[in-house]
Amino acid sequence: MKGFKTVTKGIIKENPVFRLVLGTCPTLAVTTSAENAIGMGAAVIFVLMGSNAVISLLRKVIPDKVRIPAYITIISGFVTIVQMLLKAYLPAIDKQLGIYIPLIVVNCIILARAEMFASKNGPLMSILDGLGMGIGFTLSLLVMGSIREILGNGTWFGMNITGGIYEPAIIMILPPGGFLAFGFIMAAINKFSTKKVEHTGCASCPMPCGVSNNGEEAQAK
Amino acid sequence: MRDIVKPTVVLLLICSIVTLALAFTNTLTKDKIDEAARIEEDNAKREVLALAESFEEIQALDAIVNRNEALSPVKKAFVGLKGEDVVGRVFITETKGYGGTIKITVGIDSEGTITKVKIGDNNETPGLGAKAKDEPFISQFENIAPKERLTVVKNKKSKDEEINAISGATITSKAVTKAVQAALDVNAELEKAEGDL
Amino acid sequence: MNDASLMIIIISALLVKNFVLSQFLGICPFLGVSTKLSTALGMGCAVTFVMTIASFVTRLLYDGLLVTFGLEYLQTILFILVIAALVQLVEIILKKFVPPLYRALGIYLPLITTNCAVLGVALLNIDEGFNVLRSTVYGFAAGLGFTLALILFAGVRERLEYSNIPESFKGLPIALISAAFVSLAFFGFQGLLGI
Repeated sequence: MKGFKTVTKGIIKENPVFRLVLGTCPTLAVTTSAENAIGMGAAVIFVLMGSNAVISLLRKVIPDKVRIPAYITIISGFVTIVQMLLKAYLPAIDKQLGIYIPLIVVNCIILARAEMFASKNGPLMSILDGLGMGIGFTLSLLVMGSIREILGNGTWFGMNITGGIYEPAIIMILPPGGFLAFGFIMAAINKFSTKKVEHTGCASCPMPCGVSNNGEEAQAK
Repeated sequence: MRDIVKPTVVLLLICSIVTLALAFTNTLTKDKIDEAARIEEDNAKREVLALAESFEEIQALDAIVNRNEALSPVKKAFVGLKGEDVVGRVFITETKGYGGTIKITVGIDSEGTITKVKIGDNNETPGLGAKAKDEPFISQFENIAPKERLTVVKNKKSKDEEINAISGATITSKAVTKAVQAALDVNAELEKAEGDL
Repeated sequence: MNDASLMIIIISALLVKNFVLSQFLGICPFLGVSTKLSTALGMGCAVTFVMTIASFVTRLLYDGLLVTFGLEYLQTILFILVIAALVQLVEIILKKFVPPLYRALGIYLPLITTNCAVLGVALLNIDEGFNVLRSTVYGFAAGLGFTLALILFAGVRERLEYSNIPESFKGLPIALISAAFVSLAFFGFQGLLGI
């Protein structure tokens, strides 16, 4: 039961994108289509599960002083492996996602989970946590990607679904559309949930983003 | 002293293990990656010059391309053969579009008519520049034997040598046209060179 | 593409393909630090500084170390470690030699490591095939573009403080929607240059 909860919390309650507001760069950049969203999501799931597992296994061995560089090294190892596997077996996805694959390394989600969970829990739970967060991330990206693709191109996963009812608003696939989609989705979540979205995710990030509530800066040290 | 040595050693150890893992994965995947690129190029060649059964790379390309800046998009050239006969040439070109490099394969038959143009890897904007690989843009290049230089126009196409730009994607349209023109020029140079033999 | 003139590189990074507003690099600090003009400026300067040096160092290491030994696949891991080390170094140097500046930049320095824009520009330099000089210039210009976006946005958000905003839009949602309009404005620069 505990394992199940660990996985599901990452999907809604502690959704990394819309609740913890982590990993915003790839969220905006790769959601130009539903297919890209899934591709990125899958890559992140792989990295999250892998790095959480290894970091958890080594958690008693890594000295506190060098934990951040150690985490970064392990994470970038997994990211590079994902990159090589994609280039070899799914080159089309590799080309679509471009530099955002290596940028998974600085995706706050992964470092945050390493710090908040993997460094304090056993390997099995850490893997499940990685899986849950990864699925939550993927689903969020899928929602964004679908909205942008449907409104901006009239297709979904490349299949034409609007049949020319309206002229697609290309702007949705372009950068401004990313911001718009993200903003409106967040407003909708605010409206329909009891707890307001606060930028608390960064509090769990070992790197202080300088953000506390709703984008106000952290108080000076 | 102890509390500097231990962390450093652990960190170095982790770095080494990760590097080894990466080196291992690299040897596993490297060949597959090179192979995938080669297959893609072969497919493109076959697609643009369907008449040809085999291709031979033209070695003298550098000498021609280096003479003229406008020819620089052409990276590789192949002679298309059917049996013993030359049926045309295929040119692999790269130009800079809006989002980065665009790979374009151009097939030209022995009469100087462009058989087909195929757009490969690119980072153009979906819905705009990315439409370059679709009708009606790409087919403007097919089956034309340009007597003048290709130019990009907006909606007032009056002859084959005028290419209608994609609405909202002028940069991409110009980049593709530039590449095809470079292929035509190199083809002309190669014809001249063979004529001189 | 090594034949782009330096001017084109600078204008491209600043306006046409602004790192934050067109390429979505550096969003976390963009959303988090842009509520006040002064802090936006401070963060922008720190990031520009690191991006310039990082571009220089990573390009050198790539050419001199990775290519020489055929180890290009170690690019990501090497670059991020270099950036992390650089940020630490900058922190130490500032603390020792320019304490007032260190205090002013204080909390923003460590988080530059996870700023997508820094790793992003290092990777882009390799992708675009810029030589060392152009890489460094691009890093500098990208940092300026980041700072520009931050400052503009801070101005917008300071104004937002005085507006009547529906409850569910308060905070991040309205910030993101405003960012959409700033990004749209920058879209007008698209036709400016052919890079």
